[in-house]
Amino acid sequence: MSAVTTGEDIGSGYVAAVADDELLVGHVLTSVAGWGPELEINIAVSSIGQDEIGHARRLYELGLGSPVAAERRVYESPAADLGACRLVRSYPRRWESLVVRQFLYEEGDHVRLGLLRGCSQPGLAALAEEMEHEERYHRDFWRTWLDSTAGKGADAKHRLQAELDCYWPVAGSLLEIPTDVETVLGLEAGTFATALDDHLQSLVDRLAEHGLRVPDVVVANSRAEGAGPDDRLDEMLAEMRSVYADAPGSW
Amino acid sequence: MATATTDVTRAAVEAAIAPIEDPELPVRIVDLGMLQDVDVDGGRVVVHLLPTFLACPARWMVESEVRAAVEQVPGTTGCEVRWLAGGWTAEHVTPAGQRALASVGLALPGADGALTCPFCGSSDVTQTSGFGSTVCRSAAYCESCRTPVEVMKVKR
Repeated sequence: MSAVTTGEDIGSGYVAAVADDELLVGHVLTSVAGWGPELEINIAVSSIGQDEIGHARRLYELGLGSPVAAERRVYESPAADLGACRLVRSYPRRWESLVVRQFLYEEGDHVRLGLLRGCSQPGLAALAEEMEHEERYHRDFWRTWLDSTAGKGADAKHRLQAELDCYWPVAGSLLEIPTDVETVLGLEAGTFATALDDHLQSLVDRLAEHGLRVPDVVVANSRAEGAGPDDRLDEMLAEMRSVYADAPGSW
Repeated sequence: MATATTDVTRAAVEAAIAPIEDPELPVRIVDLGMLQDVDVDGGRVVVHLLPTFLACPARWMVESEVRAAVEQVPGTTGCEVRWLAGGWTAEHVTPAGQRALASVGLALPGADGALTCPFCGSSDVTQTSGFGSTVCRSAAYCESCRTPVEVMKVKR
């Protein structure tokens, strides 16, 4: 195992952007933890949310070099400075929205972490491995609920399809990475792009098992206007920072 | 903080850390396998800790208590706590730690994933959920004594 290294020379901006993803996912999950159809599900969603926030914290510390820098980014940075992917910059509007969004996120995150495990930065590789181990419970959970929800009849499947139509254009956004960052991380240029193609096809196949089809749109350039759900990052940050605004932390 | 009048030894630092318990459980952090290494350079001490789970909300308390304990060791001029990236498993828990966890109804999975009820010793324990009351726990049920059981999550 490796000690966590500093943020220098490890594509710190990219690592912090991955942390932004995890933080927003954790924020949403802990906010909607009461949506589950039974108490046990709510416990699970809360637990997954806590995991994501914890992973965000470690990633921030790794990418930014200190807990104080992490706090500043989370509570004071302009929204434009955050690198969160389009998939996570929104609120789910109902249970099926949450299931689809989280299924796409966890499947993509699994691919991302697998690639980062092979990077040349020992601190990031070790952290990615640890996260991957802890997040297997997340992946199992959202796969289970996609399967279960899809099997609940025509109405449920119709709702899932509607959410898939909404989220599919940004399904691969968490696998976007600048080529120069791939180089810094010791990965061959285009590694993520190749993985994205395989990943999207595997998603298509998995979703087809439930009779769900993906819309005929190109999943690329996810920051293009109109792609995917409404970008509500500003609103999300305002909500997350509302207490801080009145009572700044001690850091 | 102690002044630098004597040499700090690794043994003294470890002795200072030994009594520290996990904030949530009546088990010493050394018995959880969290203490991985101690570096001593003159009066400067670096303590390397292994987190059980990355999202553990008690990390800051453990770090604070470790630092406070070490800074009381004669000769210490400063203490830094460094958290390793990960790698903790249930196999890091010592036999004493296992007994301490069992005393509060928390089971550790065996090497083969087998579960033993911490209350009655039965192996007729079924996992009911991958999630529990904290990020490190799963939920299970002992069919023998019909008691809900918490299990430390299997990470690997």
